[in-house]
Amino acid sequence: MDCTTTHPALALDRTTVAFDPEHVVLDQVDLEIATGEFVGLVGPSGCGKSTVLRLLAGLLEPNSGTVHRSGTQRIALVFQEPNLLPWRTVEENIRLPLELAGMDATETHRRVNESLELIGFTVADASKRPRELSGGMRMRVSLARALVTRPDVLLLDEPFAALDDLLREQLNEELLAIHAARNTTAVFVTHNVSEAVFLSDRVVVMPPGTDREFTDVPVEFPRPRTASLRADATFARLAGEVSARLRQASGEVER
Amino acid sequence: MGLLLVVLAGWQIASWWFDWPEFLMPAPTDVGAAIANDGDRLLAATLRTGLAALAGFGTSLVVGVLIAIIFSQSRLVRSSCYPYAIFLQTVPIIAIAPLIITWFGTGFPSVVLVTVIISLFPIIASTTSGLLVIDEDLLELFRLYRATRWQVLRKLRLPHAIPYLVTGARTSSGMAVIGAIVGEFFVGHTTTHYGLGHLVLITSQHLKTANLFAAVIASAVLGIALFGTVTWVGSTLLARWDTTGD
Repeated sequence: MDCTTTHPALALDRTTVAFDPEHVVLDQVDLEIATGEFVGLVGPSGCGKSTVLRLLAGLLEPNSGTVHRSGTQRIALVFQEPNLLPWRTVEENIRLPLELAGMDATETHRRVNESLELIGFTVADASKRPRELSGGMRMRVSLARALVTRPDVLLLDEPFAALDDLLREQLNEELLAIHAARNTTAVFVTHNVSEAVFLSDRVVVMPPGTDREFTDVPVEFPRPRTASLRADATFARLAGEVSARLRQASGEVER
Repeated sequence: MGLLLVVLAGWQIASWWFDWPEFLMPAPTDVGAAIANDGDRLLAATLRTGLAALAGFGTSLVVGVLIAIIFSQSRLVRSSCYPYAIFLQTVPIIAIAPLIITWFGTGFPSVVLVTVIISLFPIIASTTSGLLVIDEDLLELFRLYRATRWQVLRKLRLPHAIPYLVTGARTSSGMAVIGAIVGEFFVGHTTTHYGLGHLVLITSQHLKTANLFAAVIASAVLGIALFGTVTWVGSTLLARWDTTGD
């Protein structure tokens, strides 16, 4: 169910979210995320994964229970859609959070260059507009915008769902490299079980409905992880286990 | 252009064939002669109407955007006052012209006022939409970064509203010319300084139908010129705003 830690970076404590009495999305949910941990969150559509992220990001208040965020953490959220402002260039999109925070121009310029380098963009790419970018490039810019604030916590809501498998795997490896470099706490929502196992220290399976517990599947592969891991037999077994838990949670009969 | 020439040729031939009286249906050559002979007066009237249309359109732009910004910031103000903005769209100028004359007299300022009344609503309606109809994910992005209301307005709502404003401005520009001419019908002329609206009135009253056609053509050219200018400015402005990027 949860990863018990002394001082979790994030925690939901008997948290309930209901948009109306007929529509309870989360019912007294418990979840703990340790500092520096990479947690994958999987579950069927409508089970409340995005709601969990929005609670952790502070975009949503629970109807009851509490959301714990330790210290004065900087939290960034990467949405499923890149949500780039079409009238701004790549560089202008990335620096948006720093503008809103009132950061001075010199530091802003330095951090933006740092983020551009992290996502492999050149100076020429920085002056392009979103319409000139491919889907994968736009997602990278969205990621760079999230990283420019040097967040302590990175929340990702199915960021690669709309991309093809090859690009998705490439971005998975880039994300892991960034996570390793920054030791950022991360919560990654996905429908893709293989992606969750590849990225995570622990996969949390969210069942549908309001009367079921979350279940944890620890993933103990060493880091750094490379694409060859996906061919590993243990990887396949773990992915199968997660899928089985998902099916059990959804009430399907296991073969 | 080819179609226009065919229509003009057909009209000319029909005028000769049916021998229509000039006061009823002048031939294209009669209209051409009226434009040539009355060119100075036509040009002066066109410039006067054009100036009123520009002044009214410009005022509508500024006032309309300000009102839209206010509407975007307060649901209460929007729901209370938006019906009055709709009133602008439906009020018959002929009914309020006497009021305008009583309060402001006849002349150029009253013509500009009528132009504003007629051309203001498209700006308010389109800009308000642009300021409010924003993807929830973008609003959530700004909430995530704890943006202030002023930052959301300046960095999200206003840039987002530009394409909507341009659409409204294009509609408004055409209505501004109509408004200036209608204004000149009812509230704005002197015996020495008058625009196309008054020229249309006096030429029709004196059955100088060829001159009337000339005034109508000048009105159309003025409308096309203003609409075309606004469209060109809008396209230039919108070069940054291609929303197919995301």
